[in-house]
Amino acid sequence: MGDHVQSTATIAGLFGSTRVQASWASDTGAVRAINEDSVLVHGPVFLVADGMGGHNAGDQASQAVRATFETTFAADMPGTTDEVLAAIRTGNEAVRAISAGAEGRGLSGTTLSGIALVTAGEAGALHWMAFNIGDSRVYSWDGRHLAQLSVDHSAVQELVDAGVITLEESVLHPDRNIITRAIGATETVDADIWFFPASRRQSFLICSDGLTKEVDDDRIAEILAGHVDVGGVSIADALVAEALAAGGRDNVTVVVVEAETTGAASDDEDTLDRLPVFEDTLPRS
Amino acid sequence: MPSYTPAPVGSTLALLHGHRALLVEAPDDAARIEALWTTVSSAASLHAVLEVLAADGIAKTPGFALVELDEDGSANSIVRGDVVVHLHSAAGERVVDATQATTWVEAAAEAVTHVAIGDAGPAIALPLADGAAWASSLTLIQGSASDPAVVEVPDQLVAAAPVSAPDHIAVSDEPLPVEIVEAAAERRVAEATLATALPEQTINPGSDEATDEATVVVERPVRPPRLTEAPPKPAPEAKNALGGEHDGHTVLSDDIRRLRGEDRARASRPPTPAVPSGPRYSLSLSTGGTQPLEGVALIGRAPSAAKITGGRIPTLVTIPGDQDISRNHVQLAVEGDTVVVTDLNSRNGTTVVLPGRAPQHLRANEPTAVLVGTVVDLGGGVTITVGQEQ
Repeated sequence: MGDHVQSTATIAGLFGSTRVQASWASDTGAVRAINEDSVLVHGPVFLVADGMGGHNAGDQASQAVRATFETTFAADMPGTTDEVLAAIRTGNEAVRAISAGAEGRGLSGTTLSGIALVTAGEAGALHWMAFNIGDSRVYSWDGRHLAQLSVDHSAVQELVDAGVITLEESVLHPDRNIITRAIGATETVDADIWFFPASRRQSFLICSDGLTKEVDDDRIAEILAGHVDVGGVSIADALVAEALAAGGRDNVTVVVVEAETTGAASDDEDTLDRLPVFEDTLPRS
Repeated sequence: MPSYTPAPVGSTLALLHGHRALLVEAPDDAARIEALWTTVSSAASLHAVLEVLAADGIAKTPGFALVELDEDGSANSIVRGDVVVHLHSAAGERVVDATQATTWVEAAAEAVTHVAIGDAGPAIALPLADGAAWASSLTLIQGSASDPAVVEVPDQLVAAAPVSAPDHIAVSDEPLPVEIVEAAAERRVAEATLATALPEQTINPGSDEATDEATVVVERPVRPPRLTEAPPKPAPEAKNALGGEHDGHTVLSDDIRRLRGEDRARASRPPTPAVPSGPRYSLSLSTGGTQPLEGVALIGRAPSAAKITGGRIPTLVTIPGDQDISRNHVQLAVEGDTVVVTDLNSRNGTTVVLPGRAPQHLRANEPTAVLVGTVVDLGGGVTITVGQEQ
């Protein structure tokens, strides 16, 4: 059986504060014996880690990264860029320690995708920092359009980028389970990072590939748009249920984050043209 | 002994003095060569050489590679344009490639055994003492007191060597650590062998799981099957080291080995790219506050950054309140030892005022090098002053 939870928190920054409502759900799926996905909804950070490796090493790996982030961030304060980067580094070391302890019984690793509310620079403006390693995903959702923010570190993504196969072909490509970057795979790991200002209403979907390999983006958008919270079924529950109905061949984990930032210095307004200043010529006295 | 491969007159010039080497593209006049030699052969910092190279502005700065080996075994390099530098150390090979950089790339490595600058091609390498020569490549070898070198110039090289410096260039009589060129080649071969024997960094699913749907990790790049001949088989030791079933998904290529070497080299550096001994800059905002400038600073009303890879995380500087300032207005970055300002196609533009100069309106997306004391004007009275920390 899967887990599901909903939570609400308010993260106050120096300028403005963000009220975050998150729902998450995770399920082992119909085929796998154990759930190697881990999820964290804690203070300013929301993430999914999809562990891999035999002999339970996969779930240990994803849990190690989850635990690292949980201890790094306070429950009601925004984080910093450096804290996120340090947590990724520490998580990588923790997963490599698990592999080293397994003594040749196989390496373990995990994907990591998520967002964190951080303060940037001295002015302390609230920003969302998205991070990705592997093929779990971060999407943004504006109520109408679902936009994939992260770019998979996967073999098929590279083939798509190289123009060898189309996005449609990638869905059924035999190499679709090969990822090219993972926490724990190398001594050091570079995450892809995005920054954007926290402003007004913003929603995000973070998920493991158990969702995106079973349910296409259009269908995900339909569910997000049409969902009404009734009977304790959250948006995350609805998305996981859809993946299970489609086959549930992998662990499925979904986090949906709905945020509202108020009092932030930045806003969504378009930049205005600066009005020219006409200086009057003064008469020579 | 350092070596070089000859190139036609007027192509690329190698200047070598002590532990410092410069390979520069098509220097056009004798005065410029003289000026370069004066700084290369002086005790001045690499920064001083860079100033001579960039004397005519960024756009007119030629492609070059400037490398210095330190006595502690580290190497510093500054690279611009098409010249590529390979820093070889026991930890692997670091490739310094500036072809994507608009200005130049600076890189350092520890425990460097030798440095290959430029493309040697199939040409025979000739020994080079201090001096200048038209060269397509230069190889420097790190010498140390604990590693007494043997001078053993092969017969076929004796006839051609050594190349003497042109008359007007002073030849230093400072003794150089020497080592035969072939030793470097052998070392390179040894490294390659080592890389082959390394276990694969592949994560295999346990056999208790649905193997065909499990995720495996390989390092990039993965090539399309139709473009590859039979994929190379991983070494048998690699399979044993993993102890799992091999599903045939693993792709092993020279690129992967090279990347792995880079990973090790990167791991030996501190996790955050520390600003080396060069000057440390700061930004003073007219809206209040001063902050150090390390790497890249993105400045605007609501700055954002998309898909940053490779660890150079920008500092975001938010300037609230003025809606005439674009969300992403201007970028300031430390490139080498220089501060470079780029207007990010802002709606109302950016003006820079260098000390003692007339205000200059920046063209959008065109990096411009500035000096300490420069005032960057975003309009509406919002300015940023570039300062230097002591």
